[in-house]
Amino acid sequence: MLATPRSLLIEAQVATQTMAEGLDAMHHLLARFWEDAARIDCLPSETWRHLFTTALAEVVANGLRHAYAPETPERPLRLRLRLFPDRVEALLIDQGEPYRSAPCTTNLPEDDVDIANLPESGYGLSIAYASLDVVRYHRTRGGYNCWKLVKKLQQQR
Amino acid sequence: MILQSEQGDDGITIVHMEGRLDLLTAAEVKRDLADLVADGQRRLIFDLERVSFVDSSGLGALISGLKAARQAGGDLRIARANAQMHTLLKLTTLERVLRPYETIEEARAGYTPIAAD
Repeated sequence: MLATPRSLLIEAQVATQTMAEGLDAMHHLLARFWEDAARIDCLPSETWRHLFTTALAEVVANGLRHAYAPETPERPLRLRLRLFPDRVEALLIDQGEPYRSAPCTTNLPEDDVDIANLPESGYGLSIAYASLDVVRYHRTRGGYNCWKLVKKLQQQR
Repeated sequence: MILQSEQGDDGITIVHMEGRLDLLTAAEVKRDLADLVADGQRRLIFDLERVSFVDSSGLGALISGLKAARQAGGDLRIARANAQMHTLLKLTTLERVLRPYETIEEARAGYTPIAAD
């Protein structure tokens, strides 16, 4: 049984420059975040954490890959994680190009799987949508891409 | 990322990887698996014991390797995946095509022994 936090408990933020840095930073930040959550007896279950981490990694990778042109050496990314009594929220901000339409996603395979024609890419956002309760994108007036991700905690209690 | 492979007397090639199988490493893994199959090593076991994290790009590399191996009349099996990979396979329902084997021996079982090409 998880303890009931009274209010906002943990906030962590990183700012990175390259794709490799961005992914490394996300994994390090999450590891620290779960350590802090465990310290106050609010660590979600292992499966919950894997779902959240997997989804977050997809959105971070999506941002690092698609918001910036392929030759862009610097890909600034800010990531903030917050634990609330009933949910965990992640906010990702990049300074890349805006998403001009709904991002392309590949549907997860249904009953009949034809291996020869099985897509090899595009699952990322489908994974995020399947894992999280909220996946919301908006472009700020200042020219930033913002992704807000929310996963409720009670689902796994 | 570290990727190593060894082909046994039974013609089965075990691919060992260390690190994260993600956006940064998937292209190289995909290329290496394609090279192995092109080299005649079509019965593959991908050992995930030392892989800490897999994302959709990594999964795509394994699907690509699976397709190449199947097209060549072989197979690609995954073994010793961690809990995160199991969660990813379940979430994507791709565990039906990339069945996770608990051990190398389990993955090896069922492959008909053949001489190395």
